[in-house]
Amino acid sequence: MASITARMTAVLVLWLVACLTGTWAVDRGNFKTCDQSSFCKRQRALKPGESPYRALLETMELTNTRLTLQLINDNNKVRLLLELYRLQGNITRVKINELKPLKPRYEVPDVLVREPPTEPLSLLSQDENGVVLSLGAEAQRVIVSARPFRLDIVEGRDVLMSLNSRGLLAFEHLRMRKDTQTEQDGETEGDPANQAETNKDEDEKEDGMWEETFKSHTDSKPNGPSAISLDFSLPGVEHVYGIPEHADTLRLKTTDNGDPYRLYNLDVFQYELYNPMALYGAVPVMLAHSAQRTTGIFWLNAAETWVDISSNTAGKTVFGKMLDYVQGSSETPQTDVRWISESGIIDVFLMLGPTAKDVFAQYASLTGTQSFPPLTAVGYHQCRWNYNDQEDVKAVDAGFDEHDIPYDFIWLDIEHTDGKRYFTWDPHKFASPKEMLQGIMDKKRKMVAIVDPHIKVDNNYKIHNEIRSRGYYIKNKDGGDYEGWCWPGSAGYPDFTREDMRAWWASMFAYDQYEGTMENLYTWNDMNEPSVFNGPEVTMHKDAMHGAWEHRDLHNIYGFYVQMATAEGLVQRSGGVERPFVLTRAFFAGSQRYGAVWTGDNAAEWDHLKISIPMCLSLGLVGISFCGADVGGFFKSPSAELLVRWYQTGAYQPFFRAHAHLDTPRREPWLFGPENTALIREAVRQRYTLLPYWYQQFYHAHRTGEPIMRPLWVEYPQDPATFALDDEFLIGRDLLVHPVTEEGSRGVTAYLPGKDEVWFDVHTFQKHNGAQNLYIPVTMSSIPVFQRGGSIIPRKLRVRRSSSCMEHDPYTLFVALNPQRTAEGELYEDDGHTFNYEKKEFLHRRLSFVNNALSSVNLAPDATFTTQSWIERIVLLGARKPSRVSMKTADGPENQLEFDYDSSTSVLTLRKPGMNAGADWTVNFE
Amino acid sequence: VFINCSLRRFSSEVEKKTQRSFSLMLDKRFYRERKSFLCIDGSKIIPSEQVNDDYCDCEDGSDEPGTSACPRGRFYCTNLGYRPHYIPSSRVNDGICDCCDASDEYNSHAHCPNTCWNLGQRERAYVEGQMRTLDEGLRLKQQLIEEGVLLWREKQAQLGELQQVSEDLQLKLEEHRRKKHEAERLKEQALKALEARDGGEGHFFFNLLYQLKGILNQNIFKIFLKMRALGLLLTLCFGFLSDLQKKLAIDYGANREFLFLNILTPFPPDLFHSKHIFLVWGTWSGTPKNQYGQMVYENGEPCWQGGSRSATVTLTCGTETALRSVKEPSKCQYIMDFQTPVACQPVLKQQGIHSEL
Repeated sequence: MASITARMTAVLVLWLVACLTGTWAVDRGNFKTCDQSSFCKRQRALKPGESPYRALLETMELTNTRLTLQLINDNNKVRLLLELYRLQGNITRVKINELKPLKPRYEVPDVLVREPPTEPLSLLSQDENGVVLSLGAEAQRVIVSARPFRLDIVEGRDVLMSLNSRGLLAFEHLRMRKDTQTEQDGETEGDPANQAETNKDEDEKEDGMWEETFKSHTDSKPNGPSAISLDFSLPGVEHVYGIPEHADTLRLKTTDNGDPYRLYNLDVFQYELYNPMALYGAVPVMLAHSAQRTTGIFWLNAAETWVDISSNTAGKTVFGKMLDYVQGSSETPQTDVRWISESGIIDVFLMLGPTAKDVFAQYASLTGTQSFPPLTAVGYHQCRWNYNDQEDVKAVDAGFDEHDIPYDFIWLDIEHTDGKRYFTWDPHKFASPKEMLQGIMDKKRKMVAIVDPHIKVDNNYKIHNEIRSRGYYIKNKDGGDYEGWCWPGSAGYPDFTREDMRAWWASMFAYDQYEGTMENLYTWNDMNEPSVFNGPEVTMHKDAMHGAWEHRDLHNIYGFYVQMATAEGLVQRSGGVERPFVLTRAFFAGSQRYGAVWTGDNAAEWDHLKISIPMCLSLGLVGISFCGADVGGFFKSPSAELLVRWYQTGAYQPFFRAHAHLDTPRREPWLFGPENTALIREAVRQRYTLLPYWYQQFYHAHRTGEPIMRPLWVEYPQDPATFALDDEFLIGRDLLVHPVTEEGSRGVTAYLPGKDEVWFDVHTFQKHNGAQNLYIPVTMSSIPVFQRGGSIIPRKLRVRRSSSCMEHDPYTLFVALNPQRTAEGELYEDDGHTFNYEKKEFLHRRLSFVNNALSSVNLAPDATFTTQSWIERIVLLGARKPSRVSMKTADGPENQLEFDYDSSTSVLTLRKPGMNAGADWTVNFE
Repeated sequence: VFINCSLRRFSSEVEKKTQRSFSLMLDKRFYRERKSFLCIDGSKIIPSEQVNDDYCDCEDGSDEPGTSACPRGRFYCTNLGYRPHYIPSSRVNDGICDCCDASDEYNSHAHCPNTCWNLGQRERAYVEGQMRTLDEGLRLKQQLIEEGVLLWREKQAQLGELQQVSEDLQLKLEEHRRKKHEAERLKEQALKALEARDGGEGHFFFNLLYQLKGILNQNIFKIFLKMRALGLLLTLCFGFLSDLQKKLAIDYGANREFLFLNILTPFPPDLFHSKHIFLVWGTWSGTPKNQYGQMVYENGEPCWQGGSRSATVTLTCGTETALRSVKEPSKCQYIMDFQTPVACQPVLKQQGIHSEL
């Protein structure tokens, strides 16, 4: 009874919310629910515990590197082939395909960085019920049960993960359409022998197996049903994360009472928050975390995908859980997830941790790491749809200087082109782009111009003519060039899944092809879901053809390829010397290798500011570190307070770009009165002082795949208080940020983790103990940020016009001591823009404070890089007053250093030690 | 005392021995002879070797006028031959030439030429041109003011005429109203007489009265028609009158010098005259010193997806009256630059003379 009332209330609240927000938000009717997506509906209707699949153990073949085994569906006798690989680095790969498919099924190429290296598998035991295999040296075993088929991965006595434990494995085999005639012909058939089959076909038709209509769009489905599904049980797990992109909390919710999380790259106009609807990108990777272990599931499939999550503890109150505990009756908490995709094969990587950082490394070994951006891209970006003309660009550029606000990039949206023909410039508004770019270059700044993948159908447009004559366009189901409606009107969509097309596209970025461009012009790929204004769900028809494959098979990877080809173009135009910078809206697993991602067309609302944190955290967990949200909000107009708070938040997120819709009033930082200008200036300046730390984080992410902006639980995996936090986050290990995201806020409560940790307020240097909820009173200028005791963070305090202007500036080291009076940090530097770091042209130092001595040692002795930067200041937080401070460099005499000690804050400042940032040195405190 | 003194040749271990100048400083002797330096905000005393040593000691940045060390510091460009000015310290040695005398890039890879002389030349030529424009503009403005006076009188006369006409019309209308009233009274009497004689007396008399009633009715109708015509005229007249009054109520400047804009060129409030009201005159929005330097149009034609058009028009001195540029930084929000002799002011001449190098 109580639950019914609760549900009623929930429904009422939902209805009310829908009514209140319905006036401007997304038109949900434009997008499918699971019920409207026939394969999802079919698959979701399957009941657990009735698996028709059986493993045919007699078909098992075990070579050194792989196990193969046939599965049979006892209902229809269709056989599947299961392949199991043990991959290096504690990953198990399971592939399931039809043993003899009618035609090949799509396997996603180009996402894995290489064929993953395997490790030996060995047979431990076998009987008629199943097989036990050893998974390498980790004391892990995989148990294959025959009837029904099931896989359990076990370590010691713990089950880490079970596959098909609920019996939801499903594999719609490819089949001939029984009734191959058209409907009109069908009427002539009166043979009663065919009656049964005809009926069956009609059932199938009703199920949407051979044709499906949504709104006015009909999907022809010539290949019929082809969905796949598999369930995974995660014993001991109550928290799962990942599977971006959704505008939802960091911790994924159970989906029992609503739609599953959907992964289908879509251009959603004015998206709503806190729901599982699909957005612009899809990374089919989920992380599961408990205090004991972190694991991950990577479902390599680029078709439309839905993910169901259920939990045996969901809905239980804390009291209920306690009751279970007291009564000792509790089952282990468990989360069950289930993946459903429309086509392709099952190809899943089980990343077995055991720590979160292991999972990051495992995923990185499969799909690569975050590309290492040019340093300048880590600075502030000023964007608007649109800066109207060259004069406008010049005026905005000058505005930043006049108001002494640094920035690195100014952006041009679609209006800069000649009639939305990408790779061109409007002949009136941008008549001399090189002159404009030179003007920006003179200030050591850069520009980004948009290049979208929809190409105007226009016989006078070179790009269109080339693509058409080379046959590079995606085809419609009838074999003609697919045409859709987008910004330029009628447009074609190049087939980026073709390698030759991508190579051609890349060549279009050459300076002699893309006229008016220079080396400080970079690229932005928007609308690459792809967005088709008049297509089903504002995207491409699923029966459009990419060579032999349907768009259905690879929809989610289209945007990935667009960014890949564009980034390649930027690399090539510089002869392979310069690092590219490309921003994309659509993405897939592996997109981290090609640049940055933003959270699409958000709105100037406080909730959108808040959601930027979990959205970017979720992306970081699945490898895409270079993430940001439009500062200020894209749609609508922010209040000055919201804009300031957004700058303060964005300054501490990896990709820091302000953007605004064409219909909104101007909102350059100086348009809200001198006070707000000063607040924004200060936020941006804080970003610039921290650029050395940010850059080092990017280098680290590039090397390891660890997220830059990370949830607290990644660093404090055993502290359940951190597991669902998504209003604060860490940058690397050492900075904790709790931005103010409430209107009219007078204070925030930040959780400072780690019972043995201390945290220093970076503004006041006040010390706080870890493992506490700290109330921080705030004013409009407050950005609550804390440096972890035990860390050393290099900053450059001479904030200049752009990051390039700060290249040779000296460092200030902020050494925050932990209770053991030690600290450790790094300093990384290279030329900031080329690939020469791959040739060991960088400097990487380890800075450590131990036994009252601070020293810098070389972390990469085989690397060479000469820097002009020197250490101008060292600030020790939580320090004692020394009687004498001396410095010793490798070949110099010992120097005494001047210092200043503030006993009220315990801050010790060393004045001008002066050593080169690349040198070996030690500073002794006596 | 401290302002505008320049100091040269300060050397320190980090700096090159380059000639640099800066102000906001004490004089030479102070540095040479004193052993310590007091930050200008008085917050700290530092040894004089620490002045310009590329390390920021003073909160206010006063110890590093020649380096980029202080976040709040300022660097003085002497710019001999052009105009001196301050730049933020962060622009010292950042590889970008800011001072035309190249003094800000004394330790950088940027090869900054000294462009002060050229800039000065150009500036002087520009100022000269501006002065000529101003002279001519002021002359034209005087003409316009005079024309404005005539125009104003003309308009006032028009106003008077219109007022006269409307008064006349009102009088006539009143007169007709009276006539109508009289006629109606007569008709009433006739009717009463008819009623009294009803049923008896002579057929002849009845006929006469009956005819009289007809005539009276006709008369009333005629008066009514005339009144309607007069009423229409009066409405028209009031319309003109209120239009004119509204126009004359607009602030046309101290000497009504902007009046001509209304008549001579299709400018306020008719600049965007079309079937739709594109923009509506709002108000003068210049600075207190130059009240008539800017004007705002508001509540114009509604814009697609909400809001209405608005414009901010800046008036600059020129010999011709013309719209120089129109920009639309945000959708349906225009920024215009309008040139006219009316915007020329004698005070500009003084400024120009002051800025002469």
